[in-house]
Amino acid sequence: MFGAADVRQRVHWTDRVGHLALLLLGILLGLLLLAPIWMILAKSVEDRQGDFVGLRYFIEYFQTPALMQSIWNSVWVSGLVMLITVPAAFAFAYALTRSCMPLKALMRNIALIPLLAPSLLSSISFIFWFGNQGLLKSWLGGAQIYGAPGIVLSLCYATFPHALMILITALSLTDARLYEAADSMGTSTLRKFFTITLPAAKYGLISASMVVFTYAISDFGVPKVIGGNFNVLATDIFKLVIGQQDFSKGAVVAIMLLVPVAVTYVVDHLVQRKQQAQLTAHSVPYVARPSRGFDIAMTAFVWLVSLLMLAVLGMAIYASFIKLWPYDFSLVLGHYRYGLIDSGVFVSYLNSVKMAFWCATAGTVVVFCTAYLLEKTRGMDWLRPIVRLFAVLPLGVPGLVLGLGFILFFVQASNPLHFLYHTMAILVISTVVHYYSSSHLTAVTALKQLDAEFEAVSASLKVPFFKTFISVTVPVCLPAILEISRYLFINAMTTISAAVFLYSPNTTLAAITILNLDEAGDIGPAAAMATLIVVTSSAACLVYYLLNRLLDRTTQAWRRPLEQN
Amino acid sequence: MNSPRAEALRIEHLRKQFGSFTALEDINLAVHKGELICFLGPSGCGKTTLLRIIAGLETQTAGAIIQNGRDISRLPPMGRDYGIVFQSYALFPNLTTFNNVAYGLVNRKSPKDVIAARVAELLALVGLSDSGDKYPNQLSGGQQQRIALARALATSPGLLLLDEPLSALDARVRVRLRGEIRTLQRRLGVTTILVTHDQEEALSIADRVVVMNQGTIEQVGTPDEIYLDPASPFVADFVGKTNLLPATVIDGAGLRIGSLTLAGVSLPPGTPSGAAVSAFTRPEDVIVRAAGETLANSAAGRIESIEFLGAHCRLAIRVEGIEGSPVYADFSMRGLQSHGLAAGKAVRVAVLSERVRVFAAQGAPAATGGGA
Repeated sequence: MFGAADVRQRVHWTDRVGHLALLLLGILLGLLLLAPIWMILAKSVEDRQGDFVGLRYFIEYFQTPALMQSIWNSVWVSGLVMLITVPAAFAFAYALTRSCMPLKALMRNIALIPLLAPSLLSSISFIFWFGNQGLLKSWLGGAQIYGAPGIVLSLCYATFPHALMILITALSLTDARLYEAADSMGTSTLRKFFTITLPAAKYGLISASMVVFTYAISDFGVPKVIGGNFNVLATDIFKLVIGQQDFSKGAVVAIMLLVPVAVTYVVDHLVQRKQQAQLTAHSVPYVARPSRGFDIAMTAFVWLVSLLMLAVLGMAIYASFIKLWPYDFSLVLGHYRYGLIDSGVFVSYLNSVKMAFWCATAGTVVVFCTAYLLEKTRGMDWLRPIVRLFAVLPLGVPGLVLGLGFILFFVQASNPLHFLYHTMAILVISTVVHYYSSSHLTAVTALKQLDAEFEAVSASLKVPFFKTFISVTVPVCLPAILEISRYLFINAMTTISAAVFLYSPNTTLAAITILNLDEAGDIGPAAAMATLIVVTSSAACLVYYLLNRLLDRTTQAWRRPLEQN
Repeated sequence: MNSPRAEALRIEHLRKQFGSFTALEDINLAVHKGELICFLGPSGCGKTTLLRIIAGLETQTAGAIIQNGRDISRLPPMGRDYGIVFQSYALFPNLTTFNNVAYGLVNRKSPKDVIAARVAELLALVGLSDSGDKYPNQLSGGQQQRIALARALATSPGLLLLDEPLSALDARVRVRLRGEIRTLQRRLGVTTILVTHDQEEALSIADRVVVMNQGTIEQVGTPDEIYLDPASPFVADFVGKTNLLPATVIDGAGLRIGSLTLAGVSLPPGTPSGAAVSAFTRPEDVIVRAAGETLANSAAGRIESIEFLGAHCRLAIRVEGIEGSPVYADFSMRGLQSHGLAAGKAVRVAVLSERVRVFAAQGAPAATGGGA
């Protein structure tokens, strides 16, 4: 006998409210994700008049050696970045989790600094270090920083914290009892590393590799600033769409970019599913024991990496105060005053803050409400897996591709949503969609930690779910909500990829202005703008940290004993 | 508490499928007004699923649920009348004890002083009057359990559902609290369904016990009916400790178990002489004497081991003619000494024939030894 359908329960009006909200949010998310991608697929087989031309543009693409070269360039550069960043981040994470080195928290925070700036900050910095007028140009011999070397260096810097966070988590998962068992059998350090540490971190390593590769291949700002004549997929899309207004060929290249990212996304997804099975609540955390030689070696490595990190950030900040590089090294505020304010580009900074604010507020509300409705309400079971898929899909779509899809979708005058075209709203929407997956997963993790029966208890007491949502769920999940908000704010401040197609003269953003300043040769003001973004992101982090502290203090009575468990 | 009693809840031909797995099969049950009924069974028997269907948290595949004459089969949880306490208690961590208990009352828009009075009354009822401004995490497990109970009772529901409410507590608190739940339930007269896998808990507080196994009801009865007169081998085996002895029917009303012959045993109707059956007897109904003493109608055996259980101890005895597992007998420590019993000693063993329950043989090998 197979799966007879259950009796259909009547739906209470309060539950209907939940169903309707979930349906609306699901449609919205699906529309904003699928419509743009569909537009790209459609555009790639249409000519300028909108007539169907089949695979003509694909064939043309594969017959253009210069474009084909870009595919190879993108792949090998991203692969190289992956091969450098992941082992380095692994060693760094290993030092943080397995050694007794001093100042771990400080070193960790230094390593996370790249998250606070657009990826191209590092490119600007490397130009000041090694560019044509760079301080250390002589170190390169006759070689050039512009092109592949600069791209690889910049992306290593930008991707390092992403890999580091994954690997710290992976290394913290190992059960200390495995090492105790190995010790009791007299196992050598090297053997323990290869038989316990590496296997346990295996999924973390794969996941970090995929993330770094995806980041590197989709990044646009770095190759634009420091790439010189070295073409990659991301810059090709930009040149075709913005430079030549050739949307069809741009769409073809976007699909070329979508394919490797989608592949790594699927690999990562499969791997993460396996890792979750490995996680048990009863593991005993590993506590490092002092070991002189090892600790000194680890400290030296971590300090070296941190120093390099600071050198990159420091140069961008330093250069923003230099009067006339490389002739007059006096420290002045000229680039800020004349380069940004008087030249009228400062408004883009205000736009960025405005956009980040809306992402951090409206975006957070949408993300958290959707996650709540998805995880904690009943009924409409056919809809839930679909919305769940929509929520994790954006991770597999490069920002450039999403941005191109958005412009193709919203530019059509026949689209009822056309009124959003060239507004601040479309920037906010595209950014929230672009960074949806991580935010969603943070919300889901927090919600899953709540007792599963809160909603059942409310129903038995005849209290509608939305009252319990407001009076219990939101207060209890506030730390996670703040974390989502912070994440969206920082990313909105630093994003370029999706926004580069969507801004209008009235809604330029700070990170994009850096591109434009750099293009115009105003590298000093570009550094100043990058510094402003870093300062703003850092200030935002500080504000969120203080909010969290305040929250912790005011809710101490009910939260503290909980954490002791 | 008089016997034709009004019906609070009736379940008719209820069935629940999860895919191809049948979680509940043709459940029929009537719950009387004011009684405390326990759903008892091993994990996976469907008892919690049945409770959740009554609460509307799961939906049945077929069948009806009638509460006070009203068909509630298709009502959502919000439309049903019950209070519920979960195993995890599901207390709202950010609300004080007072606000937890008041949660359902506030929604009814009662005046503030009425709510305060009602909450005070409930807190007094569960003995936590001075804990109103504490948060759940500042309370012990037992206190949290009582707050959950007070919250469930606040809106005076017609039915109280308790899903393993005591299983998260340690043994001593569990015993004390189950007594308190029983007293409270009697005082308020609220119809209560309690789900448990703990037979001692069920037997000690229930008016009636529903023993469930593999999605079906095996027996419904008072605790002593369940214990003394189990309706099936499963109930006999699941509730209390039992000796399962292969036996053969002799002379229409007697049994031969190994070299033991029992007369005056109540047999299932229509069991022919010579039929192989299973005889169940409780350890306390097995009589043991030292080999030298006289014991009517007994068989020879030897004490294999003695398990010390605190107030009493349990003897494992290898009895002549009974293959397989040993026969268990309970003894007080004092009885053990006065009869001079110890491990390894030869003994005589007899069984109280009026307390033996006989079921058709189930998988057990037919009785060995001489037939009738």
